[in-house]
Amino acid sequence: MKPLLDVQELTIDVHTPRGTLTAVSDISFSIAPGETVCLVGESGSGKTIASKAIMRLTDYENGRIAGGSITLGETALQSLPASVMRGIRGKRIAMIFQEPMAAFDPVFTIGHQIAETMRAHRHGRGAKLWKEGAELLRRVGIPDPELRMKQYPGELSGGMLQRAMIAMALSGEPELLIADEPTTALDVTIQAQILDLLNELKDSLGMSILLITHDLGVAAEMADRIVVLYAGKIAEQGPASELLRSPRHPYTIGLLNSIAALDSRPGEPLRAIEGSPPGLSDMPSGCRFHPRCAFATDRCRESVPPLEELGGGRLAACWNRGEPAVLAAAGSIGGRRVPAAQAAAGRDTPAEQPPKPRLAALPGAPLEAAPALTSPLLEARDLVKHYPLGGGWGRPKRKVHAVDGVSLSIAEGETFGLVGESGSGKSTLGRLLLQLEPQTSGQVLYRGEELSLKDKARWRASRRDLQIIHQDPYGTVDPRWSIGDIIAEPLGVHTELSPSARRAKVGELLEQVGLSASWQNRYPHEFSGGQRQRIGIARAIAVNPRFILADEAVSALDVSVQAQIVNLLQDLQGRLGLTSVFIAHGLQVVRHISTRIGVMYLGKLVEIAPGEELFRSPAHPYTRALISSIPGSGAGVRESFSVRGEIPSPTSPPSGCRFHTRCPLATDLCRKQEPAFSEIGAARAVACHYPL
Amino acid sequence: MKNSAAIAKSVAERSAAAPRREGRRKAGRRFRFGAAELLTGLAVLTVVFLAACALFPRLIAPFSPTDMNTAAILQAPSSIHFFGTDYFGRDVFSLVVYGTRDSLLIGVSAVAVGVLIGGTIGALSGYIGGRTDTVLMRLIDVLLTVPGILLALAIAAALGPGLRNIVLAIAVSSVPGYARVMRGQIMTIRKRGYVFASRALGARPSAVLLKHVLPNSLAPLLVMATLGLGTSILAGAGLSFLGLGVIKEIPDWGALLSQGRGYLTVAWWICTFPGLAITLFVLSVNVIGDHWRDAVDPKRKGRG
Amino acid sequence: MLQAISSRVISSLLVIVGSLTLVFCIFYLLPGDPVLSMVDPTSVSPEVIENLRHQLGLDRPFHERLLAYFGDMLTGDFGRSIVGSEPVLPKILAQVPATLLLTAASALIAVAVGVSLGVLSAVRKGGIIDFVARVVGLFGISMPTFWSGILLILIFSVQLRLLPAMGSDGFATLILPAVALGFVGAGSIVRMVRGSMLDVLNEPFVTTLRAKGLREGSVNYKHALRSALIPAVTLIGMQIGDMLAGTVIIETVFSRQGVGRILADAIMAKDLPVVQGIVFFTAILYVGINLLVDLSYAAIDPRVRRKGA
Repeated sequence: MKPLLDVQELTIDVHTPRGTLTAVSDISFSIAPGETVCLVGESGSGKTIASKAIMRLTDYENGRIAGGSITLGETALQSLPASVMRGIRGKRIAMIFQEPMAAFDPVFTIGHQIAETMRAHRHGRGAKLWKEGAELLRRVGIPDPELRMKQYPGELSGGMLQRAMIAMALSGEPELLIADEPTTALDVTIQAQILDLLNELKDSLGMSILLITHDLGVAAEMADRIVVLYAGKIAEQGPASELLRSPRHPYTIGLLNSIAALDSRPGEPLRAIEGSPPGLSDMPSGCRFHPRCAFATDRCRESVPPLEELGGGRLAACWNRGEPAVLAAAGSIGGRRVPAAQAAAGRDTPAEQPPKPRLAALPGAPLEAAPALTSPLLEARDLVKHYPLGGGWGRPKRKVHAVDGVSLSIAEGETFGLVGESGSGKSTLGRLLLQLEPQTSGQVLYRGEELSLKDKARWRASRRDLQIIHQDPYGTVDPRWSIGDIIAEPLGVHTELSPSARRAKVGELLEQVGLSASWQNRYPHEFSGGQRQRIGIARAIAVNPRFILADEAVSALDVSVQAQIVNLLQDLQGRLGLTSVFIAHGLQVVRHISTRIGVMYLGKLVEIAPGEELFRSPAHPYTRALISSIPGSGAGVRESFSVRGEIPSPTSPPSGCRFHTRCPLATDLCRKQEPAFSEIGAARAVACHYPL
Repeated sequence: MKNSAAIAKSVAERSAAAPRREGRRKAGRRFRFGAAELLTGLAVLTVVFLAACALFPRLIAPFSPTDMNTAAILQAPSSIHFFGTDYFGRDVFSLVVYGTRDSLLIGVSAVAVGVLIGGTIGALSGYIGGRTDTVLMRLIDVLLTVPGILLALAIAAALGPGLRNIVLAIAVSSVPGYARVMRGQIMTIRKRGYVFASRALGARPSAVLLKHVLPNSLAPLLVMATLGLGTSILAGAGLSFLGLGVIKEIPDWGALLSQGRGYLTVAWWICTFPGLAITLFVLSVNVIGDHWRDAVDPKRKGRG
Repeated sequence: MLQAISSRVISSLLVIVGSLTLVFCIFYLLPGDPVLSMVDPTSVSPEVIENLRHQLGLDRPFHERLLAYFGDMLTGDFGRSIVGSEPVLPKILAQVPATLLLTAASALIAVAVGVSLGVLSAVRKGGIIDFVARVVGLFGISMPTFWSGILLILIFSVQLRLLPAMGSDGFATLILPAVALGFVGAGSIVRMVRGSMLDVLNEPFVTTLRAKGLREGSVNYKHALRSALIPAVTLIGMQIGDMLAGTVIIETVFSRQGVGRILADAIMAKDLPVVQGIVFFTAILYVGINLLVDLSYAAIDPRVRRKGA
């Protein structure tokens, strides 16, 4: 079939203050009518700029198409005059973006912006366009479309805005929709809804989709074909199911390995790719992946591997793709470790059962048993945190119910995972546990004694035992301090070490987290995201704490780097005998690292269970919804258990069970009476009238 | 003063939004009408030259500013009198050179006093917060109800003429701008992750303030002080021009200009050159301030 | 909307009370003795000074004086001029129209030049208009008005003999002072609008607008300009206030009638009641201008309107 879009040997230069850099070199791929192609890559892979180049949006952003061709149907886009190109944008090709909040003009109504798009491409009376716009909003599942048309972007939630953005994109009836990380900024349950919507629209409207993502799970769920980009070049491409089942490029193999798969063995180190993706200005010679590749040879260092046809629509750019070691590594993935692959495979051959977890097959893994519940190290008793909101001028005072009555105890030696979507209060709960802010009511006990911000001396002393690893590894270090000083800060606060002893200790710590002891005098900006998180970890363990709170500690990192950090954390935890709470919105990571997991929804703890059990048999409908929202877990599962709508505002949580507004199983009882948080077996508890 | 509060706002917002690349700025920025560096270099040279005039006028001026040469009254610029002579036969070039000292002194001291007072108020307000913040900021708001130049004028008028009073008047009228920038900056930095991190690991509040908050808050204030130096010099010259200045044998630039106004139709040079000196100096200071602000704020990089 | 307006008006009234207090503090609390600035102590007997103090109420306690002062101001009693001994208020009011006219003309020039040049320079960054805008911006904030005014006189009155150098009759006399005063405002506004516009053009939503196939004109002048004006409006308000204050110098340079001129004269003559009256009067005008500016937000930023409703 003739492709709808054909990209051949596309090369894009960007002009920066430091000169012209090549962001994308020589990439070729095509999209057939009705097909979904995913561009998968990490930061710096060039995936976003490539997608913008197709729309020629690079013309406005210091970018230049330096070579190659982009053909839409019969039209060569790369050389079209700007005025003609404008007629194609929004009409034949439409685009949606990562941050729906930032992608609308805040000072015009949604309706105005949709009608304006229509007017750019055809004539029509205002009232008629407005009506069509409302119809489009209805089409993408927005309730009260007439009202929404009149609202400003700031008045809608992120999920709603992304739907509106899709509606706006549809207004020109495009042949191709480019979606640049359309769900990255959204919560998982909303992400699932948006992905479903895109799939449904594609099927019913027969358009093609070019989906840009960093998430192989999303790619597996959506893609007919996948193009893996690394450092501005294509590493590999092919039909989704085959590419995921038997990757041919060591980078793809590594990426798939990095994902903490649903059936990976908790505690077992993930197979991470070393290092981090290169920047535009320091591209390695030869194969750009060679510095991070376990199979690299001299040939990889010296010459660039061509992208070669492998038959069956598959291509890969690797000198060693035929080497037994690479094949073996690829084979070890074999559709087993990766939910993504299962999903894709499942769609091709629906009869195939997802393989069973192979726990016993892995030698030398630590024992699965949860640690004997010794005395609790940290305990929360009925913690409540309300943040007051505005008010005044006759308006009623409101408050955000961030944490609303949470009791919890963390046993010595355990790793407690805390999951929930935005607004669930998980981070607030974490900060309350460490007493980094005062609670509205309730108590925190550390080793059985009350820990409070009021008792200043004890509080300060307790900091030596209770440390934290932050989400944003750059924002949480002072840019003016050298990393030696940064790591030594807790030593200065809690110990009397001499400067030379401190330096020695810092050197030791740096090596412990996999950095070089000689880097003490460097500054944070000289490091990559993963390295900065290692610095944050070194600081946290500097004073030999008993407890560490990891607050979304890997969320901001590239997929291939996340695995390294998870491994480092697990390793340190074992070696130093740490207790920890691991907060994340990524469920797989939590499952991999935690012995017990707590699920939060709108300020309440709704379920606690040992990690494996939680995933195998969730008791709370919300937990089940979360698990089935994981992209790549298969559309089949999700349809049987999807949640409707959006997370309600934490300023006015619903009555009764807070989940009832979205729960497919809710009854009158759920609306009226709040379920108690009660035990349902060994080490399990759930707050639901009708546990699953 | 003139646009201090606006600069304040933009500086505060810019640095609040500053993405994290501080430190890695190379001076490779280009712009299309010649290099920004060239312009800044010229500006620095100008400032250095005028500073030399202020410090060592004797070495630069060919005549004494009090020298009245009755044989050469109201002479047009020539190779002997570069800027011509005035009604008393004084050499205008020498007058401008000698006038530099008071002109710059007013500007520099007013900025120093203003930054000190404003910075302190802003820092206290931002750091303590709560009621202290409300009270201090209301006071600042009150100061802002009168346009800067008028406030300076009123204060100078009430205090009477004199160098010290002019400095004080200009300083007070510039306090709100500096206070707001500093407050905004402190409040922004306080919310930064590294301050939270430092607190979380047990550092004392005083240590957090001294080691993290203050050092990271100062850059925008200093940038603003640079741009404020231009404004203060203009204000000082303006007050002098209106007769609130220092009544001395050697007039500063504003007073010189004011004196020359009477001879506008017969001797354009008496007014023109002191004004040129003011403009050159203020222009240079603004160019340097702009350059520095762009360097401090990576978001503005490459903006030219 | 109504609520938003009324709350703005109330806070403006509070601000006026604040400025009233400020003016009082400046003239009655600062170390300079108003009596000593009225009379020469070497030539007048101490009794006369004491008498004058009592007349002015300077021997009463602070709060009484402040209250009396508030009362006077609110009833329009600004006192009498020391020099001409006529009441201050009518003296000021007679000059207000001339000064407002000059301020309005300058503001018009400043806003028209500032906004259009700022926007064009951002849209055509690096072009010739951008160069002009940056020159205007830098010189505008760097040139003292008394000097640019004098240069204008030298060029257009002395050399070219096109426009009158002084006076305040008719449109022709308005041109040079309005240009001199407007140029300063234009400088600040150009810089602000240019920066703000460049910021907005970097926003992600601009990419969306282009991806929708909108014309560049629509992207720049319909969407980006509106967002860019929101922060610029505050500055424009302050600039107009500064131009109002700047009339002190400009009216002197161009020998025009106006509030600024009598202020300059009063300062030279140490006529404090007049100075004080004018400062207070200007503060009220300034607050009024800023109130108008705040209200104009509602026209530019619909979110403000929505919030008030």
